[in-house]
Amino acid sequence: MSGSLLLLRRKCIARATALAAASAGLLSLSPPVHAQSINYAELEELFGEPVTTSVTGKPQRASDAPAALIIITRDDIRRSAANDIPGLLKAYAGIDVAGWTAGQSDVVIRGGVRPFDSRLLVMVNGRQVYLDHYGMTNWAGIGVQLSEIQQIEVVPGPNSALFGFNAVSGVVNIITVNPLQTRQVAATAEVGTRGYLHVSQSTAVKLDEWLGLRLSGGYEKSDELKGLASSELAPSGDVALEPDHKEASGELYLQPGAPTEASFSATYTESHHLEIPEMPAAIDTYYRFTALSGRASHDTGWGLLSLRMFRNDSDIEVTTPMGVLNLDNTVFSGSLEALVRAGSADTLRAGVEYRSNVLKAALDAGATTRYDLYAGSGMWEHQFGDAATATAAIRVDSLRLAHEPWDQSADPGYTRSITEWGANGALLLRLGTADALRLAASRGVQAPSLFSFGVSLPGQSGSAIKPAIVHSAEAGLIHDLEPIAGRAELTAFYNRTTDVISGNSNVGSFDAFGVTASLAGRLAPSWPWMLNYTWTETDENIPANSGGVFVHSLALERTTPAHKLKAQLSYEAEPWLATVAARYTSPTEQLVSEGGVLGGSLSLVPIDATLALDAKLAFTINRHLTATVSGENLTDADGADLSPAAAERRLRAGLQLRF
Amino acid sequence: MPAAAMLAAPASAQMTDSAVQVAGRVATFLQPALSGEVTAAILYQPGSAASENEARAIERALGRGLAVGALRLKPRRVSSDTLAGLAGAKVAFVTTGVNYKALAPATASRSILTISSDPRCAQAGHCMVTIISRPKVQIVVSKAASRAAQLRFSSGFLMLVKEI
Repeated sequence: MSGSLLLLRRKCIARATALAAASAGLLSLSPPVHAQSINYAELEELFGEPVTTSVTGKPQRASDAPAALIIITRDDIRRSAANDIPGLLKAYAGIDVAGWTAGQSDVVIRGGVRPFDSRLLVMVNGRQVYLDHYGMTNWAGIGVQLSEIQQIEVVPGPNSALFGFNAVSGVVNIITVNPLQTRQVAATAEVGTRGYLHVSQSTAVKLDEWLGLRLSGGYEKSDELKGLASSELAPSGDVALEPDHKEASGELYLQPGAPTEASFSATYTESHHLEIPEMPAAIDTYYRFTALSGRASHDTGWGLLSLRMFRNDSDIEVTTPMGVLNLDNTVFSGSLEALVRAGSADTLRAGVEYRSNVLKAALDAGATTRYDLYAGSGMWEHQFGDAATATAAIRVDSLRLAHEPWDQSADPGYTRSITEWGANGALLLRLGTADALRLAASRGVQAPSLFSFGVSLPGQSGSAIKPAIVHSAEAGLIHDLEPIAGRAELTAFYNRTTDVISGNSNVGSFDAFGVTASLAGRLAPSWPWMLNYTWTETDENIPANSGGVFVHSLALERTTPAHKLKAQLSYEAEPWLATVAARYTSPTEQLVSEGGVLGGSLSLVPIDATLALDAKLAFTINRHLTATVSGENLTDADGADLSPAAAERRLRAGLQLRF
Repeated sequence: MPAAAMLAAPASAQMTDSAVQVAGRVATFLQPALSGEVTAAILYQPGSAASENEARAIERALGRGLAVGALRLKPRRVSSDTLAGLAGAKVAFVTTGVNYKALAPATASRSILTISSDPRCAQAGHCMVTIISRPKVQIVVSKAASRAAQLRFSSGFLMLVKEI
């Protein structure tokens, strides 16, 4: 190898190592796509509350689910001042949303705020949009418009028994409208400060009694955060970028007969922005993401049979001072599931999944890292009359890791197999007509990302890396408040993660425990409100990080706010809708890299306590046209995004056309 | 309300407007699904004030036809003395006070979805569905009555309700 090539290779290795480090604790294995032949809209109307399948795989009313479930409905979305999904999520208990740059957000549940959070599994209609190469979610490129969302389901805590290795801190499942059940044509145009422009449309039409079509697309751009350039996250060199993303998605729904339905979808997204990886330095990243998905279900009379397949192709270009790093990740998943009613008191679920996951990196002559995964899972739910419901679930995943080409004799570990199991158990006790007690425990498995397993580079030792294991326990009290059509919920949780993953290594342990308390209801029919408080205590033991020296870019016990208090009040009376939301976040810290470069020495910078206000005012001009003005962070609180880069006040105005 | 408590509810339970709305939606989960204009019989006991009052309330709630998705329920009052009035009906609201046991063979043989607000009707297997709408929607489905009427709900729906 020539000297210049060797130098380039060393730079690439350094770059790749840094990027691998940036993916600390990342997962790569993913969920089965399970039964969604559920008429969400109709069932919500029927029961007066949303229905989910994201907790156990079985359809359940939100109030019957054995988890601290949050479901964000179409009404919630309509009332919110947020213009994206992370913005919607930040109003709820136990959720931190960090905005590192104008194009990159991270959603963190139950502690451990950091860039490229790898522990949250995100899906659209059960198909993962979580990216396996690093183990992260590019929220700017998931291919869903707010106007086409039926509901967003958030399940805090590990759920590996249902979804596999990726569901560690929680699961977010975004459900879109089904055109066989909901018909709509919606178009939105918004402009705002800081060069903000957003246009989108979503259409759901029933072409025939048995055929429906959902189509959507959108484009959005804005200026970069003005506070980024003056922060410790400022990109090195002369990097100026206006982040943007464009998305298009289509899905065909078929219902050839009452007991059988199927759908086929295609999604394409492009996004370009500065992002902060785990190693906190800004890099210019361009994502192209293509997804194809098919699902079918059949009601057999004794239960539901579901067949799912999807293929995700991610083409990622990371521009560095040393050149462009290309990463191509292809995920294919096929799964089959049976959900069976066994008598009046029992429900059983059994499923199998095959998955292949391939990462090609334009390093080392385009070598590949891949694995093939086989998984089997089962769930049993038993109802003890009306007094209690018990649920037990387990899933075993076995993967075979490989590198091509690779010197097997030099590092035989790259051809090893990993077999792990995840489990969830829960007991829901009904204490009366309005009260319930929920007890749950789980074992979750966080697999290393493909990058952590090791892009095929000499000197990297991802072959020895192990999955991180998360043990979790929680208890929750729920009380229905009929006079205000509301609910109060108090949850205490404890999570312990061992073999925490950072880069290519397992580096220590991490504990998080805390309490979430939430209240929601209506002061009067026109006045919906919600209030929640979260206390989170975190503790980590990473031996290599000591005495203020950070060898690994993890400071989870310092970066999670201990206290969060959030409140939202809306007023709805045609033609007006008004919402005010406030969020208090206690002071915290974040890691930065000296000089803003990858590989710089790491230190902590303080993030001030903040009180951020969001607001929205909408006026319905006629039954088809609505005008809105919205503002986020109206108090201009620097720390509202939990980032060293100061958050900014953003104002928007727009029109929405709906038929 | 837990189903056991619901089953112990007083016999004077009356079907509310919201329960009628729930009933309309329940009918859409039959397999095959009901759609188009469907006659909904309202079975009442002549001479029973409670039954007649409930029948009137249900009729009022259905109005000139309750539309739920592709289904439109058109009411028809039917006296328990003249069951010929059930002809053509696919749904029947069974008011409190009628003789459930005596009516059951007539509705089952016509494969009519029978809905009541009286938990005892489904508990005895004479009605397919009991609905309580407040404080929380609770639905009980009788397996025996479903079998007798040769009707079934979608599996997803049955996983969300109490089946007895």
